[in-house]
Amino acid sequence: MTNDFRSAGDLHDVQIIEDLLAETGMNHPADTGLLKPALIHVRGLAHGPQPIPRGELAALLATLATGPAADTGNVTSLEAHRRKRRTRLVIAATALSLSLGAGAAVAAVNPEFRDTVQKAVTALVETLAPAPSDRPPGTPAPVDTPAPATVPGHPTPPGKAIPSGPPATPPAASGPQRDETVPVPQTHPGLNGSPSPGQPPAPLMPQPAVPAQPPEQPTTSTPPHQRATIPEPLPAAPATGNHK
Amino acid sequence: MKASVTDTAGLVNTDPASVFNDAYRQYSPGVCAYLRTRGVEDPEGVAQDVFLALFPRLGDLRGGPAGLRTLIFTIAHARAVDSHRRRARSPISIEYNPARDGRLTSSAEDQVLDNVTGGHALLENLPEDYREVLALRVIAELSLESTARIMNKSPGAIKQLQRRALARLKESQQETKGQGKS
Repeated sequence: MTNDFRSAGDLHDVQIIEDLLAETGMNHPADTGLLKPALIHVRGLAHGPQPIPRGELAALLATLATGPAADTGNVTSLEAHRRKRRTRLVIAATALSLSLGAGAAVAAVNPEFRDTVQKAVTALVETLAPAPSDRPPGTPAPVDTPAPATVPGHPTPPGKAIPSGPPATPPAASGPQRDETVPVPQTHPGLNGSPSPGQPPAPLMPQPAVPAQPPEQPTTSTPPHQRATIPEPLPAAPATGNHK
Repeated sequence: MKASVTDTAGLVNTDPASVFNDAYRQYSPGVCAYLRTRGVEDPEGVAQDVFLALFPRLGDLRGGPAGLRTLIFTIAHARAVDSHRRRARSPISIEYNPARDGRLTSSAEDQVLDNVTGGHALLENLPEDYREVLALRVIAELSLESTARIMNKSPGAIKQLQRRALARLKESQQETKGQGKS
């Protein structure tokens, strides 16, 4: 009697379960009495609450509900785009690795290619590098060196020649080597108090920057006429200090 | 009259948009329940992914409503397998469910009612392949052949599997009834 009030859906569900029980041979009353109610509850899960659409599915359902313009192609294009982008990435990576391999092979086989690359790199480095300097990094600037230290008329100890022109190798930062080219005791004789042997101390120094020339000094390579021309700027030194 | 996916006339001449809407309305609860019986962490979210994957394939659909059901649950099965693999690689996070909290006690009547009436509770006590075959046959309403195709087994193997699953379900029902009487 109660079966008469069942809906079509309920009858459909019962039909599914009875078919299953008959198919497996478990349609005896002893089996169906236990299994049928249990399977009807399991079947009831198919009529549970509908999940609320979220995100992309909600947008898709809204698009389908609102516009007839929406078609399958609009949505599948996203997946196609993703696939295309993935393919493009793979092709780019393959091309890059192939070009790198080809370049390495050419460089290994052709020595001219290596020379060309080396020249190009050298030219690039020379172009981009700062102005060339004879001093190695860390060497103090030449401002420290007094100008008269390299005056050609200056007496040089025997066996130590004054370099004519820029030195082939930059002077090292060590002290003793520097003293050979820059005679500090001559420029500041009163400060250290140790004049060079064979050189009388200068009695009065009008300007410390200009070294006093001893009246008689042994010269080795400097011609005598140059010695006569050097003292001329000396009187002018006090004059330059006065006009301010 | 609006076409329904349950019509036996097939889906060849039906608008894909209306088929999709009807399919979601009619099968999304079953897909959600199937995914839940398979132990998927977020059955609602995965069910929506299933329907998003279904929509582009509606144009190639063959076989009428039965074909649509088979396609939907084939996608759902694949998503469940993906979810299981992902979960195997990552630590398991379990949402707090007060009903499963062992520190809480419920009334004996509620417990018996839950065990008897809850469809999920009935399937939870079964092994995984038993659960899946019953879910596909009863919830998804698939044929023996479609179930065999989805589970990658022969129809004969599915027949044996569902028979064993029903026998196990019967045993658990007998145990439940015995506990209720004692």
